[in-house]
Formats: sequence, structure tokens, C-alpha cells
Amino acid sequence: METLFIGRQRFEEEQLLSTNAYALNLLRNGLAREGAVVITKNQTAGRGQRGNTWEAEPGKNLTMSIVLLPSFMNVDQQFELTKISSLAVVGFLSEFMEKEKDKIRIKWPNDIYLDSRKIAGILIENVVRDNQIAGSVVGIGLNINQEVFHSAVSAVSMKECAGIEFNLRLCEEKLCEHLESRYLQFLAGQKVKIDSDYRRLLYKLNEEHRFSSGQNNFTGIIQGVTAEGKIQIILGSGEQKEFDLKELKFEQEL
Amino acid sequence: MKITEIQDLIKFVAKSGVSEVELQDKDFKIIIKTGNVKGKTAEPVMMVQAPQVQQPVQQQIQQVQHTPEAKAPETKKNDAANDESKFVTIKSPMIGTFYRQSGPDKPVFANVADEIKPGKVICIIEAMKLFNEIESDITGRIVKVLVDDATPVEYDQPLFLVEPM
Repeated sequence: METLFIGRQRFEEEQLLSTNAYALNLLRNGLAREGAVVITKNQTAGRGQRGNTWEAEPGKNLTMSIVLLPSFMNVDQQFELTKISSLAVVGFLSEFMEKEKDKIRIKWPNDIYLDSRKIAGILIENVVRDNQIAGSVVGIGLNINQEVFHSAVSAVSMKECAGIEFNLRLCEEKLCEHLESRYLQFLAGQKVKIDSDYRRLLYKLNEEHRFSSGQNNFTGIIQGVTAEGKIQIILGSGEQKEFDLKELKFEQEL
Repeated sequence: MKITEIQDLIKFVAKSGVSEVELQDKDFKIIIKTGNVKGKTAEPVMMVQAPQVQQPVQQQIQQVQHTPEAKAPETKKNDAANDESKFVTIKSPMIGTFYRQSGPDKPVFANVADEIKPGKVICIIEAMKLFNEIESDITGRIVKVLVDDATPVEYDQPLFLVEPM
């Protein structure tokens, strides 16, 4: 594996409730070095956003968590972690599915879509100590060789899309490489590059799309995100508005 | 307002460092002055505008509750801060949504009367799908939880009132 620190320390378990929970525990007990990877073939209680679950057929997908120690990062900079990890997953997918490259997008803030179906999800959990990020756990769920999905959200896997079976260990290593290179990019101060790549890859960027916010349904065009991660949308009236995650919902296309 | 709430409020104001707080409800108004002068410890002075006669604060409050329509000149009471000045607040390190548990059916991180110490997770603040487990940096006992579960918090907003140990 061609990384300096991500994946150098590796915890593989037959079965885990949640790789994030396990990694947080290692982190809190001082057992995880920067870049430590927690991985399992069978995650039984994978977590998505609060209360949501992540569905993965055992042995067919990547369910892993990576420990980062961005102690230099202020808590108000943490959306950078979302950008870095989203870009890493997109970079990985683009490398493995060259032909589909242009269809891979980041559905704000950090779901990865292939056309209009979800191929990967990210869940980041930070440990905040003395107003600083003492550690961060980046959980990534990637649909790789699974062919049947039961959940309501329309999902897709790399195999479904490319028609071939992928080697999970190779996928893991490549994903680590992509994450490390984006993280190093951030450490090197290349924030402008990260920002512009994230923006460029946003799902429905510069396209008219239907959204809802509370009771209101409206059509708008995504322009980008603010530093804190709010999404900027130009409404039909020409007015530009910013939305928080809970304030905005993507609606189905007509 | 319940008496316990007023007591908590006094303690909270005493600790917060502000010099005066004025709160007005339909029936009555409360002014709490901390009288923070020249290095002296905060001594909350409470003025309740409502009942007729001058009497100790505690009784006044009860009267306000029973006869909320009563009107009266303001009364003063100088009461030593005693133990309330030793309370401290834990404030939010960021803007986000405050959660007291990691999931809908999970145990609450920190309840009133719970002892906390550095490293103990006391809440989660979520911002833009990033989940921040906030650790206590002090040792003490939770006196009051100042924010409701699943509600938005601002930067520096007090989250917990804690009695240091």
C-alpha cells in the first residue's frame, strides 16, 4: 500500500456493530494512531445519519472507519473533513470506474451518487476536547459487489455499474491512498483546490432542481457551499439563499 | 416561574459575570443585579416588581405565584451568594444542534446529579452532518441542563450548569 500513515495501523474484525463506534473507542482509549483503519466484513448495526442505518450485505462491501487526528483544525473548520472525505471517495470511484467518471457526484453534504443513485455514504464523528478536535473518525460505506438492495433509498454498487467483481482489499488500499492524498493536500494548505473540486463535483450543480424547505416547494439552482458548509441556491426569483442541512430536502425529479 | 427556576436563574446569573438581568413575564418582572464591584465575589441582588408589601424575597415569589395580578413597588434583597457562585457553565464550542444522546433509543450522556470528569462525553453537537462528541474538561456534578434535546445552539451558549468538585 502506498500510504504514509492511513491504513498502517489496521483493526480487522469478523463482525462489528459499527466500525465508527469501535474506532471512537480506540481513539478515546489512546489505542489508535493517526490513520488507523477499522474494518469488518460484517457490520451489523451500521449507522448513517442519526437514527438511519446503513445496509450492507456481509462480505460484499467496504464498511470502514479511518481515524484522523486533525488537532490543528478549529471546530469551525470541520466542514473541510466532509470535503476531503467526499473527494477521496469520488477520486477512488473515478479511478476504478473510468467510464462512469462524469456521473459520480457529491450529493451535499457527503453522500456519493452515481447518476441519481447512492453508491457511498460518509459519517464523520469528532471527539471535541477543550474546544479542539482531538480526533476524528471518518466512516465510509461503499457499495462494491452487492447486487440487491432492500432499503428504500435507491442504491447502486460498483459491480452493478461496471459489470465486474472488485477485490475488496485492493479497494480498501486505494481508498486509503485517495483519502491520504486529499488530507495531505489540506495539510499543505491547498484549500482553494479542495473547495473548487468539491464545488465542481456537487450533485445538481448549475442545474434546475426541485427542493423543499419546511412546507415550501421550490425550484432552484445550486451555486456552491459556504465555508461552514451551508448550501447556496439561487431561487426562481433570482434571490440567492443559504440552507442548513435540516432546512433543505432534495425532491424527486418530475 | 417556579421558585426552583428562580433559584437556578439567580445562581446562573451570579456565575455568568453579567451585572444585571431583567426578565419580564405577563404577571411580573424580575431584575437580578449581581453587584459585581471591585474584586468582590458576585452577590446577586434580586428585585421583584409585583407584590405590595416588603418582605423576604422567597415569600414574595410565592405571593406572585398565588396572586399574579398583585402590583407593588420594587423590593431589594441582599443575599450572600453562598454556594451559587461556585457553579460553572459548560458552553458550546460551536454552532449546531444539541443532542443529549447518541440516538433516539440510546442512554442520555449526562443527567442532572450525574458526576462528570474530563474525557466524559456530555453531549453531541451536530453541524452539517458532522457529529461532535463534546467531552467535559472539568470534574463536577451536573446541576442543570440548560438546553433542550435536539434544539439549535449558538457558539458559546451555556449548555450545562455544573458544580465543580
